[in-house]
Amino acid sequence: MAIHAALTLLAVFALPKLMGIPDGAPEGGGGGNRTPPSVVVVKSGRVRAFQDVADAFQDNCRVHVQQLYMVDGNSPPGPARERLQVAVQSARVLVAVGQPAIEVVSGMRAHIVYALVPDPPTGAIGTNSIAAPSAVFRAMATLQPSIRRIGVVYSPRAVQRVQLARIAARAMGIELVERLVQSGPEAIRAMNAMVSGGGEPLEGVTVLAAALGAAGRSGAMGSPLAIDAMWIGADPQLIDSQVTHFLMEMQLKWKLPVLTCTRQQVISGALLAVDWSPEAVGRHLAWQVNHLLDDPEHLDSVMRDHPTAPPDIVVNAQTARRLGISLDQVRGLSGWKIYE
Amino acid sequence: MSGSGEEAAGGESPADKPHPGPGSTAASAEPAGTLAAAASCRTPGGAADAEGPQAVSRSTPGVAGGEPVEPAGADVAATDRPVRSLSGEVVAAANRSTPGTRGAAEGAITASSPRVAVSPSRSGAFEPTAPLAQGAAEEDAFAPSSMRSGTFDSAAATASYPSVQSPSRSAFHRDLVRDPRKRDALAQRETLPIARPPEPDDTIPDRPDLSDQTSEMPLSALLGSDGSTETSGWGSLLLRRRGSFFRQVFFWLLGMSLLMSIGSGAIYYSRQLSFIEKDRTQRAHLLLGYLATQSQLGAYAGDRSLLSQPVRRMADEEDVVYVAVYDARGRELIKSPARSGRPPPEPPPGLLHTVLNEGAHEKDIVRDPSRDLFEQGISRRVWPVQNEAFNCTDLYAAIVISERGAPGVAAYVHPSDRLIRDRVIGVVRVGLSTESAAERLAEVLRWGIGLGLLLLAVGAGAAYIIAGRISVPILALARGADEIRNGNLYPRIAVRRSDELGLLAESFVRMAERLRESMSALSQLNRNLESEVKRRTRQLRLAYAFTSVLNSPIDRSGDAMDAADLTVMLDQALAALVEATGTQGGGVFMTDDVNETDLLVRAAYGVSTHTLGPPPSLKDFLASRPVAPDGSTIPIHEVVKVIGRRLLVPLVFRHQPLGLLVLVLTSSEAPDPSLLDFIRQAAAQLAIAVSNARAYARVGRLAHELTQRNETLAAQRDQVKAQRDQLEEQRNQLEEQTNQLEHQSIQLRVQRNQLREVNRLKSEFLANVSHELRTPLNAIMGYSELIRDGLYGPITADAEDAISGVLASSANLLRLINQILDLSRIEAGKMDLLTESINLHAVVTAIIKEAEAMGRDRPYKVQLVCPPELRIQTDAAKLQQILTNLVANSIKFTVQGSVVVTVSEDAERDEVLIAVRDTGIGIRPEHLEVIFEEFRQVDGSSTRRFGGTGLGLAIAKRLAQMLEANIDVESVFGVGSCFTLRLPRSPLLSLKQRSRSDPDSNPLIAPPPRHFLADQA
Repeated sequence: MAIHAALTLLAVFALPKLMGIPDGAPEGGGGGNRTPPSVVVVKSGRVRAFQDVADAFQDNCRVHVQQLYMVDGNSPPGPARERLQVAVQSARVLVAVGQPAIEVVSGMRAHIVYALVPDPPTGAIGTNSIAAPSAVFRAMATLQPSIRRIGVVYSPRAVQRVQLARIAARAMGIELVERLVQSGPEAIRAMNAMVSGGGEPLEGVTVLAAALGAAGRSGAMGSPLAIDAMWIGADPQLIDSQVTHFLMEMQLKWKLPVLTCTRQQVISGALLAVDWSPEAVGRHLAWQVNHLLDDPEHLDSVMRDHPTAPPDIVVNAQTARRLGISLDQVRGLSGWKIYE
Repeated sequence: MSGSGEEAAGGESPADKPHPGPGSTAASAEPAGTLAAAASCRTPGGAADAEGPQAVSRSTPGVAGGEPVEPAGADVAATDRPVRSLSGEVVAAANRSTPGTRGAAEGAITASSPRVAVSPSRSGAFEPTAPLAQGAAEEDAFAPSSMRSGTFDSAAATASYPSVQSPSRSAFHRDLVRDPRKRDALAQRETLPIARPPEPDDTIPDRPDLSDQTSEMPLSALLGSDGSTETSGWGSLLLRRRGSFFRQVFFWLLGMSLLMSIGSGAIYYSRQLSFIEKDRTQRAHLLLGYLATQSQLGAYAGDRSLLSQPVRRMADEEDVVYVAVYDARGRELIKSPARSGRPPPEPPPGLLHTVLNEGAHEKDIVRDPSRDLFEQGISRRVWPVQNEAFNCTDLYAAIVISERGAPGVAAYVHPSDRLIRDRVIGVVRVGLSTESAAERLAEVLRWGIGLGLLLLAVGAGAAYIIAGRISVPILALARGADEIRNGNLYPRIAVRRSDELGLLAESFVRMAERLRESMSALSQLNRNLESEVKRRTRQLRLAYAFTSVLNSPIDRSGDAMDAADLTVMLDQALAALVEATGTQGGGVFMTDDVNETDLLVRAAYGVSTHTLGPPPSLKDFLASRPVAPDGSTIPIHEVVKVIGRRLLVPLVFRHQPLGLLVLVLTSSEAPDPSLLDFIRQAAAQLAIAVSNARAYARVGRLAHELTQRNETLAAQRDQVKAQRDQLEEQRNQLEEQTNQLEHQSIQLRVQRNQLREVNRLKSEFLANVSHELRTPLNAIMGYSELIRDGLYGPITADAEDAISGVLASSANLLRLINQILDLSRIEAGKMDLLTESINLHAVVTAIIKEAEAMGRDRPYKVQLVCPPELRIQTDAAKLQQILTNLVANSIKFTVQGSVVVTVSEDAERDEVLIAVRDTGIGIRPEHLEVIFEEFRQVDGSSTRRFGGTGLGLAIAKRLAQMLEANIDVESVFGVGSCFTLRLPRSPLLSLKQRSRSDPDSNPLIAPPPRHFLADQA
């Protein structure tokens, strides 16, 4: 909540200044046109994925689009909330790209559409890039058919998603070794305990299962591993830089494949992810907004939160080589993208 | 006795005192003159001494001014005495170096004069040490000692020098000695300290070679082998100073070496200390950075298992005493025990919070740029705490992580995205041992001290060597300089080195050589200068006498110079010139004023005119000018001819020959060139004097004429003054008249303005009255016509006649009023002109027909002579009015006869003439001038007889003027009249010109009328 409040204040006071909008006149996405934009895109910080989504959306949206972005950092006091109201008051649709953006624009008098928001508000329409856990498990099973146990650390906000994943895994004969934690540090401790195989359990960490010798590998400290891979979802409560850092170190240190939810983490070093590209997300988002503008009373057909095309399976070739996983069987397959 | 001799005799030695008697004793009383005379024998002039006394006198012209020289006792030449020149310098006695002196030594002088052996005193002067009677052998034996003393001994030099002996030289010296004035003069010239250069034979065998032992020889060897003698004088002083200088240089260098040693050691220690500190700082940052990096996840997660390995590795470092990691709230996560087994001390209170709060400032963060994704770092700032108990420095640093975005963003962050927020998640603590640093510091100190001592020792040795190498050649140079100061211009400076000191020594030697040359040249120059001064002085004296004679006529200012004065001046000048040139006599030939080529004798002195010979022709004399070696003709004023004993010099002033100066020489020998120059200059001055005298004479004549002219001019000036007074009076009268005229002009201008105003009022009155009259008159005429026409009922015949009379009278009155109105309009300038092209024949025909009705009751005939198609450019109405008036007048005044109207053209003047000729009553000539005035007729009877207002011709005249026309009248009383109207064919242009050029020529006449062009075609 504190972070939410801080981001809200940040967006309210510093947004126009940080967006480069002159005082009293919102920046027009179409140039020097003073026509109030119909759609305003609020992006969460200078993230390439968010920018790609916004650009693809703007290219496919049939109305005038204005892009605003928030910075994620300490900012000086800026204009008041009224400035932001001025910038978005004439917009019919507000598109929030990223979790912080949706938390900032929520409650404003406009249609709100989200994109790349792992934990969207209930009933809102939008597009995410995260594929279903079953797709992830299926891709991993393609790469390594012998996989049987996959560890997962999640927060209470991802309980529902883990339940779906558990069902999908069970259907594929895979067992999920689950840890419910409350924060990033707890997630690190939990994952460390998983991979260290019986290390001293820390307070607040519940070990659900400790299958010994499942994978038959040995860790650096000689303890047997309980899992064959580690899966981490797009849990906004857990995933931060340190958790990602620990995942990458753990993957290399323990030779444990890490399955993530976005291709950006694959580029950062994770082995595999299944998602849609930002361009596909932007196009689908534009389709949703166009439909919303045309017929705002009937939104049933646009409630699906991902593109209709199948997602991409993104694999980090370098990580695969380090883990000893061969990619020969998947090269050339449709939907597989090998990141070299 | 000269002053120098007295000064030299005033020395401390008893031998310096003058001997009381003549002969050998007197020789010591005159040392300076003797020495000077002896020294002069070595001069170039000495060679001329053999020619006899006269030659000696010429070779030394400065001696006593050429006066005879008294002989003096030859014994004087045997004196060895140091003398002082006029400048106070001590001069070494050098009499024995001269041939004369040598002769004296060999002759009676040696036998009779006591010999005084001298040795250099401490002050550099020679002092007698032994009787002079010991002879030349003792002198030679003494020479080495004097050589070693640093001064040059002339006796020793003389022994090795071949000298020139001649009887005449001895006699000359005797004469020289007898004459005190000559001796003084010679002493003044010959006391320059010129010494003889030492020959190779002069080298003393026992003298050490300084050049070979400059730096190695002992000090006693440097100063000479005879240490006992040398140390008593200059040598001891030199030794003391040498020792002092050597010590100064040595201790200065030693001190500098000591300072350099200390400084080098201090710098070395400081630098090493700085290196150690820097090394420790880098080591601390390295250890803390490594530990922070490795402990980042553990500290973030609070997981000890993640911290144990990096802490254990860190604790294994040699210089690390203990390691600890704290979380973001300052709680201890892990801590390694100290090497001694004791637990590390607790952090100082508040330090951890300080580190946590201040460690995340952006400027303090050290990031690893090679790590893109998981940037982390530690605070650049390290908090050190000295821990004496563990002999270590307790170092604290904050663990800083860089977060990438808010929750929900991290999953989408690309490695190239930069979303960094620094956050402190813990503190690392390392106890860094100070033992190794202390050991290194102690080792550095030891090395520093050793290095300083080594440098000091090397510096001391170098100082000793350098001091020796510097002081020895410098002392040798000082000794050489002192020799030069003592007058020895052949110093021995035994410094043979190739460095700066060697160069300085060479410079010393060269300086001495140059000084010798300069002294010799100066002496010769001095002698030549004195001779030249005397010769010039004599010439100047004679020239002054000659010039005084030439200037004497000029001094008689105020008197005009005549021919007698010129002759007297020439005689006196010629006498002075003959005396100055030592000639037998001379004369002056000059041209007369009539014939400028023939010469006449104007003055003669010492010789007769017969001796002067016939006067040559000036033209021939100048025509035969010699030619210069370069081929050019010698100027006139430089021509000098010698014919026999006669010397002919032209008198030329400003390139104009005035005459000829003839001097008769005493012999036939060729005159001296200097004499020729003098005579040439005298001739030039004489020419100037002659020219001035002639100019004075001319000026006198001119002054007389000028006085007469001044008197005449004064008289004329008085006359002019009287005339000027008269003119002044007339001018005043004219000014008065001018003022009166101006006053009258102003009055007239006022009157004119008044008249204009009156005229304007009159015209206005007339216009108003006429208008007021015409209005009711029209009504009267109108009603009268209505009554006559019977509109108001039938009338009787009488009534009709009465009404007709009323109408006729009204018509007359109306015409009169109209005329008055016309006249007033013309005068008021309100009459406009309407110019158009008209057919004159038609106009005149209509006028005649209209006027014929006036005289139907009379027997007359009206005729018209007019070209059928004559067109002019004019105002038709005005022309019609003029012609109507003229024709009507003619008809009116013609009882019987005819009226002829003739229209003709004057092509030459571009005019049209309309003449109205009648056979009427005519006009008297005296009335012709008034018939055009208003209200004027010839007489009252005609008015009563023929009627009329007297305005017709006036109006016609005015209208004609408006049309640029003119009306002329010719009349014969009783026969008839002819009125001619001269009308321009196109008056518009001329009217314009008149209106522009003379708009107000007549103020009584209104301005020209306005024109309207009705028909430009």
